[in-house]
Amino acid sequence: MKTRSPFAPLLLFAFLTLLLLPVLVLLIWSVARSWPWPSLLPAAYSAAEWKSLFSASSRLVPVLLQSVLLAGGVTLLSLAASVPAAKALGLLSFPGKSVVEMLVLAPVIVPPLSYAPGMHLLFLRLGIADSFAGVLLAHLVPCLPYGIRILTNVFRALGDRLEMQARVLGASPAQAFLHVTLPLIAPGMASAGGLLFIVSLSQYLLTFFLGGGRIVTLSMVLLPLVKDGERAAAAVWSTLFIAVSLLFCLLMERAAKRCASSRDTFFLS
Amino acid sequence: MTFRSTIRTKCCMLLIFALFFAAAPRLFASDWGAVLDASRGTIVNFYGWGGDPNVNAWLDTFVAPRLKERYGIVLNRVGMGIGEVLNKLLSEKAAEKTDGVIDVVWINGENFFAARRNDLLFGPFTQALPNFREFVDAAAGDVAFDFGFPTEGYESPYGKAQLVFFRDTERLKEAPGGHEELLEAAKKHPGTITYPAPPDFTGSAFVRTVVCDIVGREALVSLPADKEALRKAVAPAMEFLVALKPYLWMRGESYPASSSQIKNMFADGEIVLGMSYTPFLAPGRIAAGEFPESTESFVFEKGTVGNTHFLAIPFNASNASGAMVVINEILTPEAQASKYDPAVWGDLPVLEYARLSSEERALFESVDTGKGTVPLDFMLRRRVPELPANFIPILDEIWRETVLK
Amino acid sequence: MANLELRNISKSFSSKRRNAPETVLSHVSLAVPDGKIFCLLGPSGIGKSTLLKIVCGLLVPEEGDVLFDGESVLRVPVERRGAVLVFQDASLFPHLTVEENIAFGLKMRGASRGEQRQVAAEMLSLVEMEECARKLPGEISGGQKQRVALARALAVRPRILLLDEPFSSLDARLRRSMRAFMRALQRKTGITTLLVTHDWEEALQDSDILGLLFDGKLLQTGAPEDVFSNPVSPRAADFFGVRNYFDVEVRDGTLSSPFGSAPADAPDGRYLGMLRPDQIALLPDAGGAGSVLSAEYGGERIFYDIVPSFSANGCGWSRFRVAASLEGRLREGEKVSMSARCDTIRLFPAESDRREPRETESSYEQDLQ
Repeated sequence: MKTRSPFAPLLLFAFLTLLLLPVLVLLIWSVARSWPWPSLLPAAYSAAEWKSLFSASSRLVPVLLQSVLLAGGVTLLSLAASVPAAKALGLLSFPGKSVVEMLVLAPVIVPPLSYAPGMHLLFLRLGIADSFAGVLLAHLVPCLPYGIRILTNVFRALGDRLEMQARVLGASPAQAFLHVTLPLIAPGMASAGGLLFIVSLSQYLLTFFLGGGRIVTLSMVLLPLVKDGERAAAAVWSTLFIAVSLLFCLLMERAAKRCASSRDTFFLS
Repeated sequence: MTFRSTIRTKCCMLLIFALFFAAAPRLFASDWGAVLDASRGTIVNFYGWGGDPNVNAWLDTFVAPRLKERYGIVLNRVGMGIGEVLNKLLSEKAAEKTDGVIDVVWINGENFFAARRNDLLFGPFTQALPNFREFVDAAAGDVAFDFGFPTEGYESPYGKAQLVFFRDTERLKEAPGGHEELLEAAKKHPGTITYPAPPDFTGSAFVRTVVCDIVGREALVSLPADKEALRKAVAPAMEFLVALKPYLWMRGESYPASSSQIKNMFADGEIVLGMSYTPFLAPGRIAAGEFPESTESFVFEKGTVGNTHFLAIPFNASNASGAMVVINEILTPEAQASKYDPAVWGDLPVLEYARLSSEERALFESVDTGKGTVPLDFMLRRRVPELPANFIPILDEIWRETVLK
Repeated sequence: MANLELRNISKSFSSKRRNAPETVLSHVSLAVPDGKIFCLLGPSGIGKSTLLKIVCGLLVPEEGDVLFDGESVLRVPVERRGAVLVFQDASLFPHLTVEENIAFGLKMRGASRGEQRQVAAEMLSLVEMEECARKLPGEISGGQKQRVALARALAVRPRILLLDEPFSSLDARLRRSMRAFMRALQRKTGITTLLVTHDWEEALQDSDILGLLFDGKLLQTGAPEDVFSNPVSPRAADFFGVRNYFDVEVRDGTLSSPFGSAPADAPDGRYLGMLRPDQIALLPDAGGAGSVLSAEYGGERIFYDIVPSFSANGCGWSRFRVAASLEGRLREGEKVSMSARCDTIRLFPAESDRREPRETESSYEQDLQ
């Protein structure tokens, strides 16, 4: 772990540049008014878009709240559904497994536009269209493949040996999952969770169709701004988007660490 | 709740029909009172394109508080493009959903035509609105017709727009008064003029403006919506656009995809001339520091195309009475004058000037239309009504086949 | 503590390549008296581990019964069965400290924190690892991991201890000391133990009872010395690395072989004779019946591969393996005579299935390093 390649500083530099430069450009755009080519920096600045972000008409608080609640809920539900599915795909062998594994990926390949209208019609008939629950359910479609895929690999790497060991030592299936499997897959769940959150937060079309405009998330605000060329406003909301995603990923990592190092849950304090 | 709102919708519809067929105009006052009572304390969901922060801010900070204060109505603005709204309504129609969430929808042109053809709108309702009866000339061409189609009381005017050019006077000294002068300017400043490629809304309107400038609107309106007939009729205009092509940005080999790109290119000084369907775009952008101080707006001598945008109520609106109160409020002189202010939105009013009192006129006259704009009356005199909506996709196609290739 | 009995256990798995199920255990029966170590010796494969998983309840047999103290435990779920399996790789929980690993089973049983601590401390001192209590499994050596795994298993006071090649991942020296440690620990605690291994030397030294498992079948069980000196078949003898076979004829109570003649009480007929490598003596002899192909230095002894001038009918294996003392070392290519006490020759029916030893089977070379 601690070995250092002579390229390490170079790699770090490249990494930071690739990661931070776009964010920096985004931040500049958020205060730029006019940025003529080929100037290195904008010709005029204004904080107007940041000010309007915190004005009443931006609906910052309800949008943030809805976005986080929705994406957070989708993340938790997806993880809850992915764990048993991934465990089966990762550890069991059964006839038709490769077919199931391929079908699981199908929603990633098929664009939402092809199934959103049909889903809307179905949800209308079920009476869950234009509702939070409906959007939550719809987001599971593009999210589950990622959750299942990542966690399948996590389970494959983990194997079933440790869970068997726990059972043999006297743990019930639930105890074995709680005390052995869960802490060990927690880091994998955290990275999957971060991705799921971002996938859910990025859903525009599904949120649009199934929320009927009642569920307003960051993407719903952001996309019209981008489409209409409101560069500064789009940059402001994009920054917010990144900040929210990053914050959630950090929280997931921390939760995973706490879960994995079960010092406080086990008998020794 | 669903049950109750359905009942309310049905009651409202009955009420509206009663209102509409009632002979005595005096009856209206008390019945409007019933509409107000029914809508007090309700939420009205207002669906419209949410890409313009100015429009959003106007609805949220001007219209919404007034509705809350005067009628106890909560206005919930939902940013959604009309295409998606119509898709949603079609699905709801197919699913026989009667308690829709959309109460007011921002609409015009071919979308209105499509909505009417699919029976997606509630109405006719405009005659029930006190302000419509008082301030709007229902017979006027840009109220009775929307891109050539009769509105028949299914939509109420919201505002007017007109294609306006803007230029940087420091770089483009003379404002082109027509298509020939535009070509001259392009030759003098090669590579610094362009227009968005149709079917972008603004680009398409620019092409129609050029068509009207060269061929004339009258020569076209009587034609059938037939591609070959139109192709023949607009041939001189297309020839002109082909002649213009080599002097455009990127030698006309590629065009900006949207009007927003035109705005950004002008802000960055890449082009010296741009166009917008928002007539008072320039002063707002100058004030925000995006456009140079030397920006001026202008229209062609023979005029530019203009249209009216409307508000309508979907067939399954849960709160149709609330929707009517909102639409009526938007037709007040105060609201129309407020959004006329370029610093607010810069949308042209739809009220008949002659029907306003002197105090009400003063509301409009006190609006500072700001720097670099075309005077309102000058602009309205050079306003060419839009061509019929079903011509638009055909003209876009002809442009693509002959100019873009 | 309990005695363990397996009756007629059969198990097969569906094979991925072939459609037919693959039988890994076929009618296996065995008994382990209370407090004894039963060692199951067999080539690498899934049969042995499968048997252990059936005993502790991780797998269900298709046929047969598992009894602890005469009572069937097949319906008892794994966590309550009281048979603890220690895997080859120790399988410590990587997120728990050594101490927490040891206390795991007690915690699952709802033991108080005090009891968990106390038992963990006892077990740590039993396996002499007190100083590692707070370390994580990633911070200790392979041998230490195995000790922790043993301690963790013993902490729950199992009725049956199941060891699945527990030391095979360790290097030879560590393996020896760990085996001695394990034997001592088992004697001390007196827990009935079922151990599986592919290492015949380990099996001979560590077991009270030895069983030979081949192709899912139990070939022979008995005291280790009995099984070693009296294999029931050439295949059973294979387990101990024997490959010296030759034709023998018995007539009128007299056995005649390439090593000479001796009285025999077998019925008349042809037999396959067998001698272990240590039962043959070599002498340099220009007119001898064999020549030295190669010699391998093996520490206390030296191993010669001899090409004999005779071979067994249908045996197909025409090389002898002989263990000799270091004195009078023979050169390669040298002619030798082989001699043996003819009364020690083990006789098998002439038609015995006798194939060449497989790579995976144990042999002297790899076990005496």
